Formats: sequence, structure tokens, C-alpha cells
Amino acid sequence: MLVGRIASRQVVFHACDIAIARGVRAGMTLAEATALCRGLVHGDHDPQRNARSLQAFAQWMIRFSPVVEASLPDSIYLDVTGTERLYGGLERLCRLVSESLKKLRFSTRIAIAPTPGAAWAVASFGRRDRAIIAESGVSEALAGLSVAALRLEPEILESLDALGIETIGQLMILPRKSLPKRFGAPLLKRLDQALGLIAEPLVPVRFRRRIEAALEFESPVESLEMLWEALNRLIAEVTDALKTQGRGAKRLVLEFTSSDASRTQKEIHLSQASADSAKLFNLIRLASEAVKTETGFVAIAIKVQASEKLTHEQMSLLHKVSREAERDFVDLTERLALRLGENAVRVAELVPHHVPERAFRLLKFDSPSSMALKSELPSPCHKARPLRLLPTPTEVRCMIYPLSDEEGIPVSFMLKGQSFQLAHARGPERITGPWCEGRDKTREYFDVEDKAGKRFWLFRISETRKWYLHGYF
Amino acid sequence: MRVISAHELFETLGATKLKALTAKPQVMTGLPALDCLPPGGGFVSGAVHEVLSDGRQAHLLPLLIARAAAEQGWVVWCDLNREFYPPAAMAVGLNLSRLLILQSANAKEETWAATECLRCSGVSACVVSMDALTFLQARRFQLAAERGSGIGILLRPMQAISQPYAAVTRWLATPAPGKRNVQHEHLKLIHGHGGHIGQSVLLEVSRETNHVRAVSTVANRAGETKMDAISA
Repeated sequence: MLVGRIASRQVVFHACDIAIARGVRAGMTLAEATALCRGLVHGDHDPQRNARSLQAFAQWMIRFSPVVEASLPDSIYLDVTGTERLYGGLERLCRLVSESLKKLRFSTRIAIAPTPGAAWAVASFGRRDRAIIAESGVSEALAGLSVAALRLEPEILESLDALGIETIGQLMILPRKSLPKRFGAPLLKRLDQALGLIAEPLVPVRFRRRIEAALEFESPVESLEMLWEALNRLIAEVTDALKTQGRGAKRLVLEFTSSDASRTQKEIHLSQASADSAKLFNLIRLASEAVKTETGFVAIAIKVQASEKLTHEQMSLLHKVSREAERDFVDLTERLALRLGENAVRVAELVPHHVPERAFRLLKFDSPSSMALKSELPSPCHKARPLRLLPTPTEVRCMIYPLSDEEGIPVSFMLKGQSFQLAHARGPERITGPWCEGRDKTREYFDVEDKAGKRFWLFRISETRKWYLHGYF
Repeated sequence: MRVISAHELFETLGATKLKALTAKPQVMTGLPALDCLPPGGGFVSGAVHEVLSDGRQAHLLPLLIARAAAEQGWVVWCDLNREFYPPAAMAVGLNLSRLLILQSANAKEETWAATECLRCSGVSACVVSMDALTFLQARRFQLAAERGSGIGILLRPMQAISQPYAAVTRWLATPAPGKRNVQHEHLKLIHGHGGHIGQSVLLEVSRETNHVRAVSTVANRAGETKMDAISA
């Protein structure tokens, strides 16, 4: 069951047959539904995801007919005109579709009718799960159905209900001329569409061929050079296919089949869609270096899993960097991320936080254009901060002056057996830890310089009196 | 196959070397006292510059070069030890929106990554810390920088002074006694054909404003040599 949120209420959008049999209806609140049906399983209603899956489903349905329309929220129209001969009759087609959908664990209602409107009406409100309406039987089939089968707005349905008009048959008896005046133009349009008096063309989903290329070898191939040569051919195939669609690959999967039939997959993410064979080859070569085999490969394949329409690249006007160099840099980051790992390629962002190690954040590198937009930076910190900050402070032994005073300033300290005599010490700068996380100790930072001129950043935890080295200037 | 004579090779080599010094664009740190020391009056692009310091700690000169280079492209900072501190770099004036930080898993990966970065035309400066460096790798860096026309900055330990190098300039960075609110660092040019080799400059960083100033030490040095001459 799918549950969506309207204001503060959780409302049922869709329910399965079992739930409906127990009395759950769309529009109920979740509480009502659970009261009716114990042990109810529900998920969030995500209209966008629903639309995406319906589109994908429509793509899948293209196997039955070249013209397929996905209609939200839950209908798919197929134009099956002229396919009788191919499938050996409409009954067989109907059975074929319903059986293959059953295998995908979809419960469906199928109707074949001369008009999309009639097909929808019979599929949604007809008595049987599968129905085929002949050309001559449309008005007869519709007459007994509820007016809701005409795909009408709720307001029109309400006013029809108020007048006691329940079936399409009752509606058809009424004088045609009076209908638009009473109930608005859409009613007559829908009625005519269902009866086939006006045309209702389908808006077909565009068929997108999945782009992939594969090669099998006669004998297992071990040499990297030979693999690369083979990959080169596959890339040429893939980029040709991409270019004819005007698209660029965004995510690729390399699949290597070893001679023991085990498969290794390697995914490549591109930050900018590309159909450039040289660039793809470089990335794929890098990715294939990491794939190891004992026995050699018998087959390789490249699959484009996500692609994007290629647009004219935007010039980054904010900086005087030429387009080519910028593209070169994007290529570089992709190679780096592939070999070093995505977490190794970072950009820094300052964060207004008083604790030194929290004052910045390392983010994954995105595309340069988004980086350029972020160039509005906070004003730099004017306090003394070291160029090198140790990831974890090192404990040091420190002498203070005056000795008796716990608040004394450092005069020398020992680090790794080496003693540093201090000439200057600035401080203390008191920084309290994030107390909300239970780290409420206060650090007293000193910017110190030894006699040779080396500068360190030391701190003392005022509660424990222990000294630490935190960075080098 | 085309046969090339040794003479011809020498000629072309000489030409490229000359080109490297004359025609290559430069990066100016904006500190005249520092910029006047290297050959050509600036840090040559498409080349590698080495900074030698105790424990490879001298981050100031790389930052100054990176700060200027960030205006022309991306700066890559290879941070193997996870010690790079962006707020301080920004306080010196480095544009963080043009900075890429690489946190490689080991030195081998980092060497590879740095070479790739140098080869990229979108990278205007790449800072990498290198402990041991073979001549082959040093040469590889230099060739990569020539191709990508960015600046490679190698942070080297003091011991590397006697090791082979392929850098256009080498600098010796040593801390110098400063004042309470001012940090001093001594920079000496120890290699660079056509530059003021042996001359040094004093970098002063104010702790209050993070402002960096370069002070020429020519006058002092002249005094030193005079003293040396007398003692000799």
C-alpha cells in the first residue's frame, strides 16, 4: 500500500487487492486503514518515482507494440492496430501480455477496444480482468459502466452524482447539446473520445535502445594490450551509438568474463557526460588495470547505464580559464577519482566553526561550474592559524614560566626527544570544545617560536594541564 | 624511420631549452623582492621548482606561488599526511574554489597522481611533497610540467640537496628568528640558470593580519661577503 502526506495527514493513495477487499480505499487516512486491516505494510508515495517507473515500464512494453503511451498515474496504452497477424489474434496477444506481466508480479487489467477511452473504461471498471471490445460493441460495453470510467474531473462526477446519473448509458440518453452547458466541455469530449467520434492520438514514449557492446574471444586473452585493443573497438561502437542519439555516457559498466565464467564488473562514473572515444578509452584503460585475472578473459562488454543529452559546454566566464583546459581538468579529476578513489579527490570549504579542526570541510569534487558558483567565500580568519595542522594533536612535555603559576606561558618543550627552547610565545587563545558533544574541555592555544625561528602551535588543556602540539606555522 | 643527426638534436634541444627560459609565461608572487631572484624575473610555468627545507615543512613559498597560479587555473595540493589546513591557506590568500586537495593512500599513488596533474593543461600549479626522488621521476615531473604548462612545486627534505634533480629552480627554506608577532623565513635560491643564485630573501608573515612581505637581504649579504673577505 502506498501512503502519501497531505498536510499533516497520512493518506492512502493506492492499496492492493487484499486491502481493498478488507475495505481499505484510496483517500483514507493511514490510521483508518490500519484499523481495518491489521498487519498492513505501507510505503511512501513518491509521484516522481512512480512516473519514472511508469516510463521505464512503457519502454519495456515496446516489445508488444511500437506505439506505447504511459499515462499517469497507472495506465499504459498500446496501439495494437494491425498486430493481430503477428500474434495470431487479439486474444493471444492479450494472454501473452497478461502472462508476461504476471511473471513480473504485476496484477493487471487489460482491455482491447477501438478507442483508448473505451479501453481505459473497460479495463478500469469492466467486470472481467481481460476484455476485448469489437468495433460495433463500444457503446454497448460502455453503457453499463459508471460515469467515472470516462476519465472525468471529480467536480463533474459530483454534479453527475447529484443529478442521479450513474452510468454512461444514462448519460448517452441525455440530449448531446445540453451536456456542455450543464457539465462543461470536457464531459462531451471524453464521451466522444470513448465512443470514437473524435480522435485521441496516443503520445508514444520514444524508444531508446540500450547502448552496449560486447566481444567474445576465441581463446582466453591475458595480455593487457590485446584487451585494450578489443576495448577500443567496443568504445568505437558505443560512441557511435551515443553520437547518433546526441547523448554522452554518464555511467559505464565494464564487464569482464573470465574463462571460469566468473564475471568482474567495474563501474565508471563521469562527472560530465561524454561521447569522446579518447577520453572514454583513457578511463576504461585505468579501470581495467585494476581488474585481475588468473586464467584470462573470454569476453568483455561495455554497457552504458546512464546517458545525458550533450549540450554545448558552458564557458566558465567567472575565471579566465580556457574551455579546453577546463575540460582537460574535468578529465583529470575523473582519472584521479578512478585510481585514487573518490574520497581522495577533495575540495575544501570553510565552515564558520570556532574549533580549528572543524573550521573546514572536505567535499567530493563536483563539476567545475558548480565550484565556480561557490566562489562567494566567507572572510578569512584573521587569527593565527598554522599552515599544517596535525590530524591528531601530539602530546608534548612543556616547561612553563612562572613554574608555580598554572597559567604560565611555555618556555620550552620536548618533542620526540628533541628539546625546543622558545623565544616567543603568543597567547593564550582559549577555545572551548563542542560541549554539546560532550567535549567541553578548554584548550589554551599558544603560537610559539623557538630560538631558530621555527613556529609551532601548542595548546594546553586547561582542565588536565597537559600540553599538545597541534600544528606548524 | 627518420634519422636525426646529433648536431640537429643538439640544435633543437638548445632551442627548446632557450624557449623554456624566454617564451614561457611566468607566475609572479606579487612580492617584488622574491620575484626578482629566479631567472627571468618570475616563476617559470611549465617547469618544476623545488623547495628544500627541514622535514619538508616550508609551505609558505608553495602557497605564495599557488596563490598567484590559482588566477590562471586549478591548484592541486597533494596532501599525503592529511596536514594541509585550508583556513590558513585561505588566510594567506589562496582561492579555495580553485583548489583541489588530493589525499592519496600512499606515496606511489601520489607520485602517479602528481604526474597526471602536471600533465593536465587545466592545472596551473601542483604542490607535492617528495621524500625520495629518482632522477627518472624528477625528469618525468619536468616533462609532465612542460606538457601541461603548469608549475610543479616539489617539497623536498634538506637531505635532497645532494640528490639529482631536474628542477628549473631550487630554493632553500630555513626558519629565521622572528618577532613575537612576525614569523620570518629565509629563502635562498641555490639553483636556477640565469637567476640570482646564492641570493636570498626574507619572508615576513604577520601573525595579526596574515600578510606576507618579502624583504631583500642583499644589503646584509654584501656586508657578510665584506666580512668574509676581511677574515680571509
